Amino acid sequence: MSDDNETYTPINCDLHSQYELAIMHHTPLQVAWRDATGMQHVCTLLPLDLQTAHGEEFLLGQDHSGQSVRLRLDRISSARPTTMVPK
Amino acid sequence: MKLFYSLLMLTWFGLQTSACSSPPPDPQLELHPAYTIVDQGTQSGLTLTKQLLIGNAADWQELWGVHQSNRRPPRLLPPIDFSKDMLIAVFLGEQPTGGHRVTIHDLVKTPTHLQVNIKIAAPDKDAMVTMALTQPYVIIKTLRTNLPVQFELYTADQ
Repeated sequence: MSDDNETYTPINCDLHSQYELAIMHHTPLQVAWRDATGMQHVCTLLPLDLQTAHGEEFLLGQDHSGQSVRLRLDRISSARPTTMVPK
Repeated sequence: MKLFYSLLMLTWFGLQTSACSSPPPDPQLELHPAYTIVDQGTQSGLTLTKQLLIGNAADWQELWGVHQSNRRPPRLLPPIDFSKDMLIAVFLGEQPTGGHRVTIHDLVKTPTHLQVNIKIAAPDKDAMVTMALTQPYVIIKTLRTNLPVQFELYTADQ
């Protein structure tokens, strides 16, 4: 997900800290998020970094297929630590 | 003395680095596949318990027709590109009250199959619920795979 027209709403600091911890510990997260059309997506990603750009914050990560994912933090409706499975 | 302080600082930085870093993820492990929720709710024209894998447009159209048969007017068929995606649909069947819910917990791709972990929630015995028949369901879209699909059901408290 990239930037959209809706004004960014800063997220709770605790949640921000949880993302930072997940990044530091390489903990995969199952993240549910809504795109600009309201469609809900769920992906498991390896969180890599948090980014601030133009007053908006983003979670950067890598998904199942190895693709880069960039999610605006206020679009994430839930994130829970999950596990990885053998290839 | 200068040497002592230099060594002390180096040791301290070394300790800081080892305390903050953690091992990188195991390359032999992979993440769960992503999915998109196409539709989810508690009112469906399909009143039977079903767990379905839909891989072509004809089956999708037929399922959507039955699923929307209780709505006037029915919602438009969501377009799906079956050349790259497939649908997984779970219908809980008709329930006597509100408060019942079905969600996809996660998808787990193993070397032999794709496992769909389904979470089912029912209301507490003394919970206040809508006194209406409900038909909880969830339909998701994920990348097409040739692996067989297995459904696993869990209750919400498991």
